[in-house]
Amino acid sequence: VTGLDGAGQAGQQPPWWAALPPAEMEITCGQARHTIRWADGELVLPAHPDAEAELILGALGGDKCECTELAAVWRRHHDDLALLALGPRSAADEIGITWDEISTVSSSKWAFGLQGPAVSARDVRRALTTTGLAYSPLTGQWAAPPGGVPESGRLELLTLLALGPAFGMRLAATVAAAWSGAARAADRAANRPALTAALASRFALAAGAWAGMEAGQLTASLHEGPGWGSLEHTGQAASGPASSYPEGGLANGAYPDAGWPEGGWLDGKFQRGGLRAWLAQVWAAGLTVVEGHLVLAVQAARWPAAEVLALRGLGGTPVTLQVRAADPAAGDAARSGGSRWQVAG
Amino acid sequence: VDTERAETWLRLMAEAGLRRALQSEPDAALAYLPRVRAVAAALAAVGAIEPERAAAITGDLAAALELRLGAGRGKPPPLAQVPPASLVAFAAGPPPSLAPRRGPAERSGEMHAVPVGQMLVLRDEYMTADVWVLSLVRTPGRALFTVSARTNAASPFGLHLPPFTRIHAVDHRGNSYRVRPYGRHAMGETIGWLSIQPRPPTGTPWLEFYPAGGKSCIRVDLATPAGTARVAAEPGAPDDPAGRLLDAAAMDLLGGLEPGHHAGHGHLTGYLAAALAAAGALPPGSPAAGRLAGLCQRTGATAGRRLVAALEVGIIPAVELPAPWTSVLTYFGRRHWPPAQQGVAPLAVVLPELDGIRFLLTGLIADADGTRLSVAALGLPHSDHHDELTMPWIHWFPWWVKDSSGQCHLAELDSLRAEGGDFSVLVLRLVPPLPRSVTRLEVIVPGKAVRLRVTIPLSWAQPQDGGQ
Repeated sequence: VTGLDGAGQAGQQPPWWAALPPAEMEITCGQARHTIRWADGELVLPAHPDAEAELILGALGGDKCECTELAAVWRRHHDDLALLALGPRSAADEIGITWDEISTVSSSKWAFGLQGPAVSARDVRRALTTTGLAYSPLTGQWAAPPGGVPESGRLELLTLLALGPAFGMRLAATVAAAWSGAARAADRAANRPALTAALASRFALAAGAWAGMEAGQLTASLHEGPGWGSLEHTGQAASGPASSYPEGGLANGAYPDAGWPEGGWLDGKFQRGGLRAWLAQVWAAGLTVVEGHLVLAVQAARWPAAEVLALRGLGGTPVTLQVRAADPAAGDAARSGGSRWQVAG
Repeated sequence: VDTERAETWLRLMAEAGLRRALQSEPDAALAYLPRVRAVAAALAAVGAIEPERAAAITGDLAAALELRLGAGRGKPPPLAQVPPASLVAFAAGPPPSLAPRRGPAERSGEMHAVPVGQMLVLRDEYMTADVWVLSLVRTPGRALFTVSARTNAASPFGLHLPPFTRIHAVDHRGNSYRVRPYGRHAMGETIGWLSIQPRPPTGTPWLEFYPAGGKSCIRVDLATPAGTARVAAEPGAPDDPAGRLLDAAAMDLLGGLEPGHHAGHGHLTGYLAAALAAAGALPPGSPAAGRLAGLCQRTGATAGRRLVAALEVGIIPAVELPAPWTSVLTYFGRRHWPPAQQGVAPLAVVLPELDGIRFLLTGLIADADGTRLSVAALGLPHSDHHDELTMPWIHWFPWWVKDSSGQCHLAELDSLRAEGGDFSVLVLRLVPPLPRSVTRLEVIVPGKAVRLRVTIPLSWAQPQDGGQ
C-alpha cells in the first residue's frame, strides 16, 4: 500500500506511533503560555528549541521552566508500568484531575506535616488517598504503603495524567512500546502480571461489546513468540479455560448472583509483538473496532490512513482492511484519546 | 504456589473493580475494593504474593478509583467511604498463632490462676451492681480478677465509672491496693477485669475488696488450688495455610448463623477460594474447598453459590463436613432450641504453651445474651487480631467446645484487649450458647502442629454462694 509506513517491507512493522496524529496543548511556562506537542512518538517543546541544554542548566542550579520540567517527567515515566495501572483504559475514560489539584496535592505534602500553605481537610485527605497513602486505624496516622510508588513518582504520574486523554493515551502507548522490545524479554517475564493486566483490561473493554460479551468474560495473556497472537473463543462456559474452577472465580466477581455466564469466554493471547501492535498501535489510536471489525494489528500506517488486520466476527479469519480516520480535519483526535476510523473503499 | 498467577489474578481482579467505575457503577466499584484487598491479604497470607506487592496493587486500584470517582468533580473523596487498608499490618506476618508476639516483660514468666466465684455488691447513689469475681490471674507483672457485673442501670454506666472505680483492696498485712476496673459494658451487663495495682507479692494469702464507704467486703483466698482440668496434647492437622484460610471463612459463616450476629466476610468465600486455587495454593481436590462448598450448600449462603455450583458439577470434591460443624448446623436447623444456661462458672485453667502462646481460661458467663468464655493470653499477637480479611484472629485457629450433652459450640471472638507487654484479655462467645445442666466441657484449642484438648468440670455459681 503506497504511502503507509511499514508496507511492502518484509518483516518490518510500522513505527508504533504511525496511526496516531500529533497532539498539542498549551501550558503556563513562567509568565507565558507555551505549546507542548506530541508527534512521532516524542514530546517536543516548540518554544524551547534547546530543551536539553535548559534541563542541564536547570539541574546545575539555573532557572527551571515548566515546559522542560514536564518533558523530563515524561521521559522519566516513558516505561513506568504504574502509568498503565492508573492511566486511561479507553479514550472515554475520563481522569478528572487538574493541575490546580496537583498543586494542592503537592502543597498538602507539607500541610500534612502541619506546615506550609493552608489547605482544607478534604484537600489533604484527597491528596493522601490519591498519592497512595492509607490511614492506619492502629496508629491513627496516615502512612505510605511499603513498596508502593514513591509519593514524588505518583505526583509526577498525576501531573502527566492531568495533561488530558490525548496525552494520556499516547503516554500509555509509549510505555507499551517501551516494554515490547526484544531486549526486554527478561523484564517482561518479571513483570508479566502487570503487563497482562494492562492488556487484558483494555482488550476486555474494547472487544467485549464487539463480541457480545460482558467485559468480565474476556481475558488476555502475554507470550513470547512471533506475530501478534491469537484469539480463542471457548463457547462451553462450564469447561472453558477461564470458567473452570479455579479461574471462574473471577467471573464470580462479575456475576456474583448468577451461575455460569452465557456466551463463553474470549481469550486474547498476545505475543510480544502484540503488546506493541495492539496496545500501542491499535488501542491508543482508537482503532480497536472499526465498522464492526475487531482490529488485531496495524500492518502499515501513516495517519490518517492505516492498513490493519481485523476480524469480522468470532470464529472468522483475520482479513486485511484499509481504514482512514473519519474526519482528520476536525481535530477530535488531538483533543481526545483516539480518532474515529472507517473502512476505506 | 504460583506467584505469577497469584499476582496476575489480583491485578485482573483490581481491573474488574476499576471497570465498575468506568461503567458508571461507582457504588459497585467502591464495594469491590475491600474484596480486592481481602484477596490480596489472603494471597499474601499463604505466601503467594509479596505483601508489599499486594499492597502496591491495591493502592494503585484505590488511586485509580479516586481519579475516576472523585477527582475534578467537586465530590468528597469516595475512598473515605471505604474501610481503610490495614493490609500492611496484616501482611506483616503469617496468621497469628504462627507468629506469637514476644514481649520481654512477661514472656518468660509463668501464669497462675485461682478460682474465686464470689459476689461483690456495689451501691452508690446512682446504681447498684452485682459483681461476680470469677478468678484471679497472676503473671510476673500483674494481677487481675475476671469479673462479670450486672447493674440496675443501662449504658452509659460502665466499669470506668463509679462505683466500680471506688473499690480498693487490702491484704493480710494491711497493705492497700488500687483496683482499676475495665472491660466491655453494654446495657447493664459487663464482662471485665479488676486490675490490682501494685501486684500483690507472691505468697499473699488473701485480699479483701472494699467498695466505696468500706461497709461491706469480700475476702478472696489467693491460695485456692486451680481447677481440676485435664489437658491433653494431640497432633494437629497437617499445616495447610490455604486450607486453613478457607476453614477460617467457614468459621465466619458458622459464627454468623446465630440470630443477631452476622458473618463478617462470608460474602468473600467465592473470591477467596478462587484466588487461592488460581495461585496454586489449593491443590486440586482440596478437602478444604469441599468443606467450604458443602457448608455453603447446607446454609444456602448466596455468596457461595459459585462454589456450590462447582461442587455440584464435581469440580470441587464432595467431602463430609466435620462433626462439630454438623453439630452447630443441626442446632440452628431445629425449630426449638433448648433453654440456655444462666449463671457464672469460675475457671482457672492454665494451658500449656501452644505455638508460643499461653492461654488461661478464667470463667464462663451465661446470660440472656449468650454464653461467654473469658480468657487471658500471653504472647497473642495484637496487631492482626482483625486482619484485612475482616477475620478475627480466632477463625484462623478456631476453638471448639463440646459440652456434656454432646453439643458442639464454636468460639467466636467477642472482644480482645491488649494490655501491654505481651498480655491480652479476650472474651469468646460460644455459638450456640450452652444449654442448661452442662456439667463438663471439652475445649479444643488448635495450634499449628498440635492441638490441646482440655476437659473441664463445671461448677455454676449461684448468687447465694457469694456475697456478704
